[in-house]
Amino acid sequence: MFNLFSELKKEFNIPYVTDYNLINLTGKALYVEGHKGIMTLSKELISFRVKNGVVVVEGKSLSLKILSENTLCIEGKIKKTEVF
Amino acid sequence: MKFNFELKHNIKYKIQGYNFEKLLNNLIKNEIKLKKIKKLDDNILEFYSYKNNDKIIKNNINKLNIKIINEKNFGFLFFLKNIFFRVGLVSAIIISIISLFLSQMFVFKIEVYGNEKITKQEIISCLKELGVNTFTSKNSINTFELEKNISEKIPSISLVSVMTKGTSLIINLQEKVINDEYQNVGLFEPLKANLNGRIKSIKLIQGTLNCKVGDLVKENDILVYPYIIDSSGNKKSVKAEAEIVAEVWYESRITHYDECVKTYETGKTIEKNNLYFLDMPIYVDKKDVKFNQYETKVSYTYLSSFLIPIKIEKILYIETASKTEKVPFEDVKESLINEVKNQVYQKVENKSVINEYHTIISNLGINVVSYVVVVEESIVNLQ
Repeated sequence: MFNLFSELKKEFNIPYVTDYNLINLTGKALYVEGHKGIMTLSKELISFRVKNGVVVVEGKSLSLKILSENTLCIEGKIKKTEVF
Repeated sequence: MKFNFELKHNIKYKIQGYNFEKLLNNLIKNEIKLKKIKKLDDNILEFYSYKNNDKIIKNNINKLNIKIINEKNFGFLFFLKNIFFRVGLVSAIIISIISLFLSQMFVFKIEVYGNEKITKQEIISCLKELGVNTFTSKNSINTFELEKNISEKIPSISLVSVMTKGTSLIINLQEKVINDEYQNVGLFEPLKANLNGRIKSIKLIQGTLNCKVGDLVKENDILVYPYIIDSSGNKKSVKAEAEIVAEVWYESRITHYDECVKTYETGKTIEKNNLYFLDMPIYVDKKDVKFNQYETKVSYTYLSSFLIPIKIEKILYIETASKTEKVPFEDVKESLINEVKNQVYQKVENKSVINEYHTIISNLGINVVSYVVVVEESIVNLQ
């Protein structure tokens, strides 16, 4: 499976990459690699575990575009992303 | 309208229940990739996955007591599979209908019912002669005509019906029922008299009488007919049997002439021999025969030892003379009666004689002596 952050690490020779990585695309999509499982799923809130924490995504009409063992992509109107 | 092209066969699941997060985590632990996960309501979730994950997904759903409320297939491969299945199905249906339609046009089986003495093979052979066989077109079969023809071809059928049902030609028939008595009609001969006489007693065993006691019957007269008529008026054929005793007359006659001319041989003879070749005379004896009255005896001898067909005709001329004799009837009457009686008794042999008498009729010197013996005997031959 294509892994965006691993490819970037290889390409740019970045020495350290965190256990999880996420990228917010203009508040319309959130791409996450290294998640450890979904905790909450609703139209307004999606939360998932990461190593040593929980990521909470709030917004409107949220849905999971892709969900696999390591990767997920949240689609919708993303208002806030918090890491606990 | 948004159109998502998917090459692979995808399934959209719409599920109802709670704790969807646990389900999703279980599925991704099994390395199942899920797409377009959307929560439609608090307890309704929709997601897509590949068809090859279907079994695992359903197992997990069942484990968590979640209900699948809708399941829909997508993808180009599914479309192709579906279309092939549908085309195949439609084709199969069309082919089946055509086959069925074609098969309904022909007779594949001939069924015969109601036959006992007539075999099915006889009926089939008869049908073959009439041009009806398996694989014969049903349209070409005229059932009315066929019924008529079968009845004509097989006389032992009293009733026949022909019908086509499906791919079968059904023949229902009824055989003629003939009583044993009627089967023998014409086989028995009437009982006939074998002698002339007057019937004295009749003991009928079987048949219908054509005579009564006291009747005078002639030889070959029918005495008993070979049938009986039953209480319902039907004629039944039986063997004619009866013991019929009659008075039978045996008669002999001698005619005596008071005056008669008797011819006798004088002892003189002349022999003539003629030769014939192929019935053509080649030598004729021309001896003169000077007898005034004579008789001839002719004999032929064939020279069979020769190849040439020569015949010898031998004619013997015997001289005869005549003289008139006068014998009064009264002188020879008794001897004539005895003579004629002996003649009659030779015919009677050991039969029981019940009466005998003689009659003499004389007219112009001609006397006819007749002797009659009446016996009692059977006049029918018992077989």
